[in-house]
Amino acid sequence: MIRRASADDISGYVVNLQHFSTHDGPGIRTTVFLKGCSLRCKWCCNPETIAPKPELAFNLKLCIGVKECGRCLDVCPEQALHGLDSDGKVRVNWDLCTNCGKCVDVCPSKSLYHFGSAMTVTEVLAEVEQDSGFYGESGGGITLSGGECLMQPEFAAALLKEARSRGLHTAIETAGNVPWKFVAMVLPYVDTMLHDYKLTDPDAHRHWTGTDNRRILENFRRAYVEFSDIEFIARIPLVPGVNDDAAHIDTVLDAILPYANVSALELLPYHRFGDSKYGFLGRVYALEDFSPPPAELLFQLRDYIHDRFSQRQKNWDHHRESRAE
Amino acid sequence: MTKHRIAISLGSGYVPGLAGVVRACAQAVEGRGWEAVGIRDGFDGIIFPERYPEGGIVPIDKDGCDSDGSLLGTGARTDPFRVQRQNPDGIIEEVDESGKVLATLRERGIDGVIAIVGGSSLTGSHALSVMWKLARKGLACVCIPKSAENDLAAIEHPYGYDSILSFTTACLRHARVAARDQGRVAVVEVPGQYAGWLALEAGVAANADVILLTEIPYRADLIATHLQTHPEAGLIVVAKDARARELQSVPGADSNHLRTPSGSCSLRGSGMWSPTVESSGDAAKQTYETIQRCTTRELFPQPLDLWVRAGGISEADRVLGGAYASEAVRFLSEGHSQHLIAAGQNGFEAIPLSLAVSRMRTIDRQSPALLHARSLGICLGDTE
Repeated sequence: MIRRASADDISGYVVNLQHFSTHDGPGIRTTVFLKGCSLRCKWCCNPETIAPKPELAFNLKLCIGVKECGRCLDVCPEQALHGLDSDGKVRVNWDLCTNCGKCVDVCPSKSLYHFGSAMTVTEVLAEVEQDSGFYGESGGGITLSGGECLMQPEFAAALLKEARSRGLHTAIETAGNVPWKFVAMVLPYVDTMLHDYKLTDPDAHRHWTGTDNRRILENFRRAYVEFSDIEFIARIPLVPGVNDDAAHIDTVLDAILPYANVSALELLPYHRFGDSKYGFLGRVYALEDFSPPPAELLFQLRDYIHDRFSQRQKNWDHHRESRAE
Repeated sequence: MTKHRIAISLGSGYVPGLAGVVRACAQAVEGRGWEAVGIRDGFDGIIFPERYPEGGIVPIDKDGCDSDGSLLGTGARTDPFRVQRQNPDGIIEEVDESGKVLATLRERGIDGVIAIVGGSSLTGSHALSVMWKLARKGLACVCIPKSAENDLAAIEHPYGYDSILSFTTACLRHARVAARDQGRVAVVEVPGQYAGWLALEAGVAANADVILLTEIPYRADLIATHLQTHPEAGLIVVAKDARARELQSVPGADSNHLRTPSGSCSLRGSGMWSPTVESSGDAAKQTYETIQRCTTRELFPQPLDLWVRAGGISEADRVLGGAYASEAVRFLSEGHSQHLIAAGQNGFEAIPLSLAVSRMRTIDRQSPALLHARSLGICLGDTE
């Protein structure tokens, strides 16, 4: 039986619920990907989460063909769909599409579909709680991701508040580029916050993500101080040639190590798993010639990070002992 | 007589000799006693004026040479209907600034726009679609087609294609000579995401042994047989989106090793049907991997990609560019706004933009060009 949310059962735009996630916080988790992002990172692997509202996607392989079906061409008011003579299948002119969804409604093969749909807190938690058997033993729970989950602060707060009231461990993944009031609205219901340090240089940050990082850094610093009971896990999406230099790692470590509630710095190696989604959305992937970082580099950097955290622990232990004496 | 002010704009995608067309447009405009100006980088000159210290709308320098590029810039990636901005909350979002574009044009006294659009393998007919959307909002405009792949609907002779065809042919001929001399087979990829015109026509002109088109899924075993029975074969031309019919139908496809005269090497990368955004050279590489499995001839992949645009302008395109410019101004003066000009066998005609967008010109199986290739003994990787 679905348990109704006790709080206002508001709805938000959700792209996907990913079960059995093991990289989005402690234990085995269910990750809820929300729509909308406040950055435009050129390496983004979740392009379907960027737009704030549901948007059209097209999987050519599933298209039956214009002669066999062709219903979408009849209903498109914008002339955004057409058949290609060579293979008889549909193509989308993404410049003309307004995401009205009329083609989605009539497509029998689901080759035309929407990334994202409105879901209520109750609906999301009904699906999340299907995995509750995995949470207890593993220390897992629910993680809100995106996109930028803080772009829907009311929905995120209501969802996490209700999840917590049901005994679920709560986590968010954020890049932090939102007004502080959005952060402050959600963090009271968060147990673990995973947050990205993409680049430390403001100009480079603007070049690669669309905006500088001043507000992001201030939000993180303020969160460490004002929400001291939250566990913070810093992360770097490691993109070769962009932010895989020791100087960046050092700067991030210098920023986080003074705060005891920042428990780790994780490296997220750049990957190409999101490529196909760019195709489904009719977008061009900006980093098509980039490759994942070599494993050797990852080992070196992880060792270095481990050493810096160990050193912090030693310093604190030493400090405690000195005070005790 | 009213003195009109006409702006010239370029869609993204470079083709040789654009400066000449822009100058010709300006001359044709001024020949009518009107005034011509240019907009930098598509409509970026209006949307981001801060990026252009010398002005986003500029006079056109009519005294120059071919090496001037495009004069106005073809680097536009901005859709006026989806401009990336930061809102007061610091959130990046896409904003419709088409109204700003139209208002600026009005403020600057610009009565109409001649847009030279099409021709980018990355953005396809993006600029044409943008022009149509602006036209629907009231912009008086006439479009001149340019294309590297000749895939614009209803247009057989876009500007720039002849230059690109000539240069691509020259490159392919050199590749064939070099490969044959080494006893190898060059697998050369050329642009052709939706249509294989460039691969077909340049391939025929360069005496290619095999031409693989976007429109015809190929069978690797047939190509391998052709290579074995034609030891002098040295060139396979591959359109960017050419695909093998079925991986399973290829003998030895279950093997993870490629066969070469010098031994074997392991196959890397993802499956050939993985729906990824393809990088330049993927088609050449995948074709090489697919065919090398079933032949002992030694193949090597080689992408041409953007290099096809690196040649000079052909004489035919010089003539065509001037004619397009002249006709654009004529059609504009006759009130044929919201049209794309098409050069055909019976002269120039104006095609409504609504009939030109969202359509591609692909190669029909009964196309004379395709039949000619078959009759010349060129292998197309199919059984007809």
